[in-house]
Amino acid sequence: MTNKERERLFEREFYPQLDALHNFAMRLSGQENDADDLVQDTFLKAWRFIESYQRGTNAKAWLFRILRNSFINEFRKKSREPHTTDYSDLDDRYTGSDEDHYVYTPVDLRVEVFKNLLGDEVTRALQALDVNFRLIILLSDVEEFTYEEISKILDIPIGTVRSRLHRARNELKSLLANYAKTLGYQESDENTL
Amino acid sequence: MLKPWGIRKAMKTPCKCGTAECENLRELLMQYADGQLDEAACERIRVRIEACEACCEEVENVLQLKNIVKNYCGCQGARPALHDKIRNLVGGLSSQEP
Repeated sequence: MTNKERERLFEREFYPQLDALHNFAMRLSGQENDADDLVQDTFLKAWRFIESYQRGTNAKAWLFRILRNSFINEFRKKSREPHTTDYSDLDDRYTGSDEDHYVYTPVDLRVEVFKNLLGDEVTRALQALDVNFRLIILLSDVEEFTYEEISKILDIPIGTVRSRLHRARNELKSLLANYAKTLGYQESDENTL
Repeated sequence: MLKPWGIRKAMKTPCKCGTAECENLRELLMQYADGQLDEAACERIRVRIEACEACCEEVENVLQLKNIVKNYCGCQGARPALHDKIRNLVGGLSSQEP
């Protein structure tokens, strides 16, 4: 691919994703400067490895995959991520023959609790999630990627996407319920969600 | 398209099913709320949530959570300076390399 062709590809398909990439990076890193570095790094890598991009495929998913890999493999090594759990073993358990052993503990939030939650609390709860859970919720609910696209971005089987997303949402609901409780919003028996 | 708060209002039959059956359906209900099922599977789920309050609540719960995340964590666009910086860097690579 000539440089002119690359430039046209960047203009048409890559640059329009810059704001979405930045939002994703902000939610992952929590810092504006770190997010800027991640997005910049993503575009430089996209230029460098352009031959591995198959034209006509999903440019947005390809860029998100680059950014996610940069974040996981390089960025987090030097970041202040407090703790991370490798959920791959657990994921395998839930999608493998031991799936029946997955004990689901439902967390039910109430309508009025949801209504009283503020943006800051939602952001804080999301930031408190394990990074693997945060990643999958952002890709699904903010960027609205399909399970198949998420599977490619995260390099995990679709069954794992389903089980991880299910668990991530349950964890997020628990955190939101805790925030609501500390703010004094009590659950009632009505308006159950 | 589903409306997060509209499903239960349309429900006519109180749920009589056991919780174990509902528990087994949770992931499938999530896939329904995420729009990841084909039409035939969607129809089966629609029949289910019209008959089962617990399953209906589960779908509403997922939709509610999705809405909250989307509303509060939506696009936080990059500063114009970052757009310019990246374009300049890429432009620099383009002029350097053959």
